[in-house]
Amino acid sequence: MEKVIIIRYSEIYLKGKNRGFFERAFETNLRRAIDGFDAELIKNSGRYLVQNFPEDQTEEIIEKLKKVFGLHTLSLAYETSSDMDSIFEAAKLQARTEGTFKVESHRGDKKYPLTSVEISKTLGGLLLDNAKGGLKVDVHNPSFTIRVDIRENGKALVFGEFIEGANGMPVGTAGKGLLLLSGGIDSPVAGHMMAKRGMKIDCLHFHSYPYTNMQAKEKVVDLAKILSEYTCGTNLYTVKVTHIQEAIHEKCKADLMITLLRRFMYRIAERHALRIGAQCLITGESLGQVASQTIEGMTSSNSVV
Amino acid sequence: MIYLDNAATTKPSAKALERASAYVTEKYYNPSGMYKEGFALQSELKKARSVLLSKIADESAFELIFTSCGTESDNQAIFSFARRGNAVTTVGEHSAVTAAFHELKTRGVAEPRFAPLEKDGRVNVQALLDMIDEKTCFVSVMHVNNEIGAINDINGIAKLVKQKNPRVIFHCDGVQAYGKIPFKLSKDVDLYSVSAHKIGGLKGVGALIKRKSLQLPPYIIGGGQEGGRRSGTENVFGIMHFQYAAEEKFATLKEDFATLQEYRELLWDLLDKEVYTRLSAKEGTPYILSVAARGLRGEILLHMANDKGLIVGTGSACSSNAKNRYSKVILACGHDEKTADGVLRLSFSPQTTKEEIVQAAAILNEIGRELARKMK
Repeated sequence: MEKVIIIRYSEIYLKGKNRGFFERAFETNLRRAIDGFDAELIKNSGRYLVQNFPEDQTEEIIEKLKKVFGLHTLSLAYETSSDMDSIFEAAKLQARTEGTFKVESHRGDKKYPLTSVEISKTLGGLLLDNAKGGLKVDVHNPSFTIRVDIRENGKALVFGEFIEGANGMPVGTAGKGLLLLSGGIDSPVAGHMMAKRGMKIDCLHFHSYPYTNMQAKEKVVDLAKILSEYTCGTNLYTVKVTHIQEAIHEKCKADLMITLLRRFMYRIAERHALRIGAQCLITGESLGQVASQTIEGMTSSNSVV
Repeated sequence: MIYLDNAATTKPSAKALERASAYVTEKYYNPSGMYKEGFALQSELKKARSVLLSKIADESAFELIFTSCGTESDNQAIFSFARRGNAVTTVGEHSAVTAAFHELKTRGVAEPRFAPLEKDGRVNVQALLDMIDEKTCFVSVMHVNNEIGAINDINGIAKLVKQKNPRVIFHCDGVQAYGKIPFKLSKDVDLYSVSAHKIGGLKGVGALIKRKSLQLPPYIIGGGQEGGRRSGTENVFGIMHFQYAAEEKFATLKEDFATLQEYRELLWDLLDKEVYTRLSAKEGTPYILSVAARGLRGEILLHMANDKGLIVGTGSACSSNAKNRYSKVILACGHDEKTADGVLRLSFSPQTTKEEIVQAAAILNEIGRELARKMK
């Protein structure tokens, strides 16, 4: 009996002829996530399995996998031989000793001597006897579920709950964008949302030292690091706009300061995006969030790109 | 690089480092060890304790407990003795004291009271005394203010406080005073916090000086070091370095005091009065000159000075991360927000040279004028 992690994906299934492209990107990102762990990734009839990993790394591996876009759900499972005794042993490890439960079974191997319903009934009976009255069956609203999956290679997977993944599409399947990362919460969220649709993200930060401090820049580095856990890595570029800000201050009306500075930031961002092969600019602009985020202000900034 | 942020921390004494190095390379034993080597360290720590204490207090009346920093010393004093009724301090204190006082309220232990300041940063003594009543259990007044450099007459204040309520425990945060200001503790002071790294010692070493007859409940419990009042294996190297650094510092205390007074006034004379306003009084510590570039932002000036090879402070380094933009201490001295926004704290050490003072003034004038021009 061995502990494995079952990885399921969802939206990729909807893809037609180029599904392979999406699957390859997904697999690359999965391998990247478990890189550095002593673990093995294999593809297995429409899903992936992580196996041969040390027990004490389980939680850490699951946390990493949960940040891979395209991943729908995960389950921590026991892989056993498919005879009922072994399945029962594995199920005992997953089952609680009190409460209500049900067993759900699925046969990949259609030559298996029992049907799915029979597997559920048999295993349910064994678990009931084993709990000595502590457990009750409730197929409609159980407090936990034991799931059995009979595979074609003579093995069975026995597991309990589904752990929700990040969903979305694999990063690297929808081009590249340049995220204008400010240090607030809106821009990293915007980047996260685009990465969830499969976009590769690089980050651009504007600062005006000495008018802004080094802590603010450090915070952006920290934000980019957190974001990079979801975006399969990222590059952070920083641009000093102090001289531009000073020139605007000297030559322009004071109330146009923010609008004009933003327009320069967008111009610089567009140039940089072209240089690194990014196909769009991503911002955390949110209408009405702060005083300067008016539709006029946002239109004015956008119009220089 | 010219370093004028010595109130935040000072360069550790190299001579002391050399003398203390044996406590890392050879005498690395645990002082609690029952073997001769461990026991020998016990007596060396005892000597360090005595040296450090005797510089400011009568050893027959006071004792010294080593801690990890000034903040720990302040916290231990406050949380050990402010346990009921009300506790009184000033609005000029370091956050190690003010934050702990606010915590007293959160924990429902005692009602914190904050006495106002005079214009020069000293506590308004009459207002402080007015806040003390029969329910007051603890009073804490800092010796030298870390932002503006004002010196409180600690012995005098402690005496008046005890006259008003003799049961009060009187604590003083002496972190910016120890080794810098000529001073001897009077019997009216119960507890006094000091820190090594402000006088050429290392970060991670502090001490709480206490009146011997006062029972101090432990704050950190464990192996019973420091007479059971502060457990944890002693930082032998840090403590020995503290002793050596303090010996150096106290040996030249009076000369340093006079020299730095001269330098502080020289710096002020050289500064452009169109840009800078002086906040520190002449009677304050010669180690700190606090000025304000009214209408400009101190933080921007700090960055500009940094780029030109001059390191200065804006306020207490421990509180510059705080969300509050304006220093409460500067506002409490009666200055407006525009002044509080432009504060620069220039703080010196005996290693500061006259040439550095002259250069620093030139840099400060240059960047002050430049920023004022840009901000127009």
